Order: sequence, then C-alpha cells, then structure tokens
Amino acid sequence: MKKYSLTLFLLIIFFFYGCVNRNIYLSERLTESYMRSRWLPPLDASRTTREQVVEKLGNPSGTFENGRIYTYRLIINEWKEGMSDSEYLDYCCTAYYNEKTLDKRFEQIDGDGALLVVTEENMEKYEKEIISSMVEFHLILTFTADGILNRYSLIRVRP
Amino acid sequence: MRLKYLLTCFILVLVLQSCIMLPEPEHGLHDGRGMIKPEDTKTLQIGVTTREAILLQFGEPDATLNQQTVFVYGWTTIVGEIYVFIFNERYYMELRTLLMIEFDSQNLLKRFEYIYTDSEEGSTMKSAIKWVSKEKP
Amino acid sequence: MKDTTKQKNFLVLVSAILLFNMTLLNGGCALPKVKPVDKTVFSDRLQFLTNGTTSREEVLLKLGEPSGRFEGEHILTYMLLIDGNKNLRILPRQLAISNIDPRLYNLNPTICSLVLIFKNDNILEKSELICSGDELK
Repeated sequence: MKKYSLTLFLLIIFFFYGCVNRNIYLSERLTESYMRSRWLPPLDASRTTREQVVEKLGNPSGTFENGRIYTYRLIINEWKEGMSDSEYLDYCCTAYYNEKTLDKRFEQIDGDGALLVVTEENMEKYEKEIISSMVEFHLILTFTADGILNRYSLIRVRP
Repeated sequence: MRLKYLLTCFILVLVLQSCIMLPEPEHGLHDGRGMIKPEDTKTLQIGVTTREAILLQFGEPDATLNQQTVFVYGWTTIVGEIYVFIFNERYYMELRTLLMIEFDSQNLLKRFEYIYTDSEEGSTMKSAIKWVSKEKP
Repeated sequence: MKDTTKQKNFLVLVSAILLFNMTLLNGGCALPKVKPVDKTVFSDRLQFLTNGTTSREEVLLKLGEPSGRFEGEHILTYMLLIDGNKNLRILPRQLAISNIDPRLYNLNPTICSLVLIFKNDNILEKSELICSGDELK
C-alpha cells in the first residue's frame, strides 16, 4: 500500500512537472516595456503628430472629444494565415500549459506576430484571434488643438 | 396497495430509462454577471426612468439593439439536474432569462419585460430580436 | 398493518432523500444578483474617480478604452474583473460576456460593471460600480 501511494505520488509529480499557469508566465514577459520597445512606434509627447501616429498604427479603435483623444485596442496576432477552428479550440481557453509549449508560443508571438488594432470593422473577422489572444494593451493618446501629442498611456489588459 | 404498485412502476420506469430527473429551485448562476430580480425593477417608471438611471442601477447591458434603444440583460440559472445512471453522468437543466428594456427617442423608458429562452448559442439574440419586432405592426 | 407501515416508511425515506438533495446540495448555491457596491473598496485602481473633478481624459488614460459608450460620450462603461484577492483588472468585452471561460475560472472572479456619467464639460458627474453577489468573493 505504501509503495502504491508513493508510486502514485511520484507519477502525479512527474505528470504535472513543468506545468505552469499561462497568465503568470506571460505576465513576466509581455510587459509594457516589451510592448513599447518591440511593437510600438516612438511616441514623443510635444513632438509626435496625430498624422504620424495614424501612419504607423492605422485608424484608432475609438476617438473622443472630437478627435482630441485617440484609443487603440492592440493585440498581437500570431496567426499569419488566420486561426482555424481547431487551433482556436486548442489555444483558446486553457489556463495551464507545459513551459516548453509556452516558450514556443512566445517565440511565435515575437517572431511571426503582427500588431492588430481591434476596430468595429474587423472585430467580427478576427473574433477567434481576439478572444484567444495572449496579449492585449490599450494605448491612449491625447493631442493638442494643433494635433501634437500631449499625453499618452499604455495599459495592459491581458495577460 | 395501489400506491405501492404505482411507486414500483415509477421506479421501474426510471431504472429502465436509466435516468432520474430532479426539478430544483432556481439556483446557481451558470452564465451572466448576475440576475436582476423583479423587485429590483419596481422603481422603473415608464416615461420617467432614463437610460442613465438604468445603467447606474444594472450596469452595462450584455447586448444592445437598434442603436442602443434596446438593452438586453441576460443570465442562466440551473433549475434541475438529470442523473444518467448507466453513464454516471449529471446534466444540468438551465433556464435563460433575459430582461429586455426599450427606450424612446428621449432616452426614457418605453417598456421592459422578462423573457425566457433556452441556453443554446444564438438563441439570446434571436429571442431579443423577436421581442423588439413584436411591437411593430 | 405491516404493509401500511412499510409503505409509510418507504415514502418518508424517499421524501427525505429528495429533500436532502434539494436543500443540502443547493445550500450555499446562492443566486447572485447585480447591485451597486462601494468603489472605495478597491484602493488604488478606482480611487482617482471623484465626481465633479475627474475628467474623461483622466479616466481614459488610467483605465483605457471603455467596453461601452452610450449617448455619444456622455456615458462610458468598463467591465472589470475582481479576483479572489480583490485585485481589479479591466476585462475585454469578449471575455466579460461569459464567466465560464477557464482562463477566468481559476481567478474565482466577480465581474463588475463600472458606469461613468460625464457632464457637457467632460467632467465626471456620477459613477457607480455594479457587481454581482451579496458580498465580493
């Protein structure tokens, strides 16, 4: 009985070894500074113009106060060819992964990914990618009356 | 004697079907942010309550229709369980409730109603659209 | 006589089992309802919200893009997730609609709706945090 319990215990440890929580793993890697340095164009308050922002990021997800404030809902889309239903079921909603799988996934995000601005127009087309995305940031920009960047903030929503 | 006979038949039927269905008092939120009980809607007044007041009381709706003139709040509760003996499985019987709220052109409450639908995907919006079109001639 | 007693005992036993199932198993399975809660419970993330002082710009810079907007920009709403440690996170709308997503399950979350009403001068007039449950988990 003791040998059986010990064997079972060791099997459980072996089975779960290397299993990590996806959110914790990615929180340590997909930080605001990673996002700024890897994915965003340079943003210089008092210098960058609205036109420069739109040229780099495209049209914003939302605008407020007659265009004085722009909001960008950003995800990193790692599915070049689009996400299939089976890929969606695999990746969508699991919280725990083997660490090697997460390393591979992070490499895929970093290497093959493309910044996607979520808008009303593309929300339905990229629904699977948006729901299963491992990362989402909101970029908020305020401009002066002359269209010069005044303030901005980058907020991590996921992970 | 007759009661014994009826009970025996009943149990036999259950065993032969290999399942037992238990109705239960509504409990357990299976889906949705939370329920809005009828007593919470007592303060709502047609032609008086504003969209703003509804949002401050119930929060963001789960869906909107017709350029936000209709709000849909939905939640799913468990109202029974089915035990299937041969598979040793338990399935839940669900009730999906929608609180439908419509506003007029002045952003004032026009009508509201609880409707019930099944919890299948897509049925919420179908039921909501049907309710909205009910008033049209 | 014996048969009658046996029948009675059998009926009592069956009733007791049914009652046991309906009460004990459902006990604690409260039906959470949406209601406003005190924002000041969450010290760092929401304390900047002051009626009459906070601007819409400040809200957007601190909380990001809202999940809902009504009557133009007059009303903004955010879906928030409060986990078992009472930490607050902004929730993308797609995840807020269904609370059975396994990515949220292990956080034991409460999903709340933050409703912000702004005056014409873009200053916060009223705000409310609407959560489900009698107390936060």
